Amino acid sequence: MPDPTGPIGRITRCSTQSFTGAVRPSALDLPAFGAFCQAQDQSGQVQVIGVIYDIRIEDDPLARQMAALEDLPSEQLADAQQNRQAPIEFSALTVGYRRAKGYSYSLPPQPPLTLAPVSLLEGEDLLQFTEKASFARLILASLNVPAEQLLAAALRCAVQARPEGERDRYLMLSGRSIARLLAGDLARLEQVLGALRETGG
Amino acid sequence: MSLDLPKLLPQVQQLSQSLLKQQAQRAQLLERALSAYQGLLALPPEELETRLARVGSRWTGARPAQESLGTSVAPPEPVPDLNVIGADGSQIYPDRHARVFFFLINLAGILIQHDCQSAPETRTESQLFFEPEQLRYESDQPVESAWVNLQRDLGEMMTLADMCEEVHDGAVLALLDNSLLLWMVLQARAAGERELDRILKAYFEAMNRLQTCGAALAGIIDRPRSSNVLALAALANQDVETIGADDSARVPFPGLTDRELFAHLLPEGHRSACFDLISPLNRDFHAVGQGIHFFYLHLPGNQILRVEIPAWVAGDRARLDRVHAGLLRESLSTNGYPYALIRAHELAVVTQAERLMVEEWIGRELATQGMLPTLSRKAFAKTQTSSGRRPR
Repeated sequence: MPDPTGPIGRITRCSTQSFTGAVRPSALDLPAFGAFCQAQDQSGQVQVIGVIYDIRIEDDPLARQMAALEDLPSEQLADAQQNRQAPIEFSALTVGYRRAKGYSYSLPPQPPLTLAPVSLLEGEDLLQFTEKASFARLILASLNVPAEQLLAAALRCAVQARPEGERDRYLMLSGRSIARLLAGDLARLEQVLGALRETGG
Repeated sequence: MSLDLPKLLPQVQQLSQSLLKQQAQRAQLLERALSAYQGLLALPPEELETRLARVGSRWTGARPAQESLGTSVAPPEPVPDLNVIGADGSQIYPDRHARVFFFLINLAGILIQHDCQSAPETRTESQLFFEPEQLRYESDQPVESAWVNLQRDLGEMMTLADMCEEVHDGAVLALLDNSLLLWMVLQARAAGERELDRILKAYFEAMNRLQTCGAALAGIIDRPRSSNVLALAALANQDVETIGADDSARVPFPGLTDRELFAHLLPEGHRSACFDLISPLNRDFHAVGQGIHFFYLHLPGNQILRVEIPAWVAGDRARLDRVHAGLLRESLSTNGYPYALIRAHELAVVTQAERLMVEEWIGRELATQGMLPTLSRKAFAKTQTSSGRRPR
């Protein structure tokens, strides 16, 4: 297993289908919607791979009271944004996993462990995992996420990870795979393509 | 639901009627109090001193300090780049019905620099008390909640002193969400004189450190119930010949507080004159140069705060103005309560869920050591009957 590159947070709750992590906003840049991430499962042999579908910042009465002010003191604004919001929660939909034999685009045998570090899937790992657009299957099968928007954002992330000269070809091949998956649901396919166009993919 | 709602409802209505009646009575009482206060202002200072000299040593009330009594001080200029430190504490009390007898104190502090773009510095320190000598007094009696409160109050003052000594640039305002007089000393007498002296000494040391590092220290009391100025006003209007030691038991304006008096007297943003507090406990504070004074402050939102300060703040106009201006600035965004104290409380508070989590951790740890302590039968029975279903 490769070492995770710089954790973005730690898991607070999870299942085989999704996991939720927490991150301090002051520690690093926030994860983005559609980004791929990974966390180790309970056996220590499997790296569970997810796509971030929700980033949540809760409010409270003090935040609401302060939001209504015309002139919020700068130190209180910094306190609210960097201290009080912690932790920010992000949730990822599981789209596959990796073990010694390679990648699988189905649900893992076990979920990650509580407080397991979550890191972004980047570089060569991201290229390999997204080489096939098979991760789209679990996204499109999920009922609890904005699937079309998420798939478009994930594809965009995979495209951006590739060298400029390979992007159009990758997008075309991925588009074909997704078109096959959604052959019986053209309205949904149009939603994915529309979202891709809007995100510049 | 085990409440007898049909019987309770008329009582709620009676409560409301009673409050309405009390409100009318208090308005009359306030008229009398305002008149007595005018009498106090008109009384020559030496005659007031004669009255204070005749009253018994157990009398508790206000004494004029350096400022003239009728003073109403307008908001001073804001202090640029002011550092505000707020400290607060919370606790898990010892419970003889729990699996293990222990207590926990959680202390928190926040350092906020006004007009600064960077986030405030925060800290939290949690300590578990479990050694036999921490859980029993010298008399071998188990410690009580008052003792925990006393230790927590000491910890809050020490947190302020620690954080204040780490500030190297700019003026400091150090705030506590409490009276500066360590009232818990009076409630924790079971700890024994030697232990109480040790706590008081440590508390005075922390106050000394704050004084030495240039801080302006203040204890904030929201919705204060004290009537020290009213007691002084009553004394000023009493026939001097009738004043004696038994006046400590007199209640001149039952139910009325200084807060209601100063709500009528102070314009928004203004503070009252500083008063010295005459009380047996404050005599101990005065003896070591840490006597407590106080004033009332009218904050936006029609809030009247009682602000307690050491004599070395009351006697130093720059530090006094820093308290006044700093509290006004701190309360701008919170509709009448200092932001630093709201945040210090938020950082310090031990929630019920956290208390249960700590107890569970302890239980698990003991189990790994082969120990299986149990709840008392009473506590266990409560867990069986407090699930929400209440059969009759």
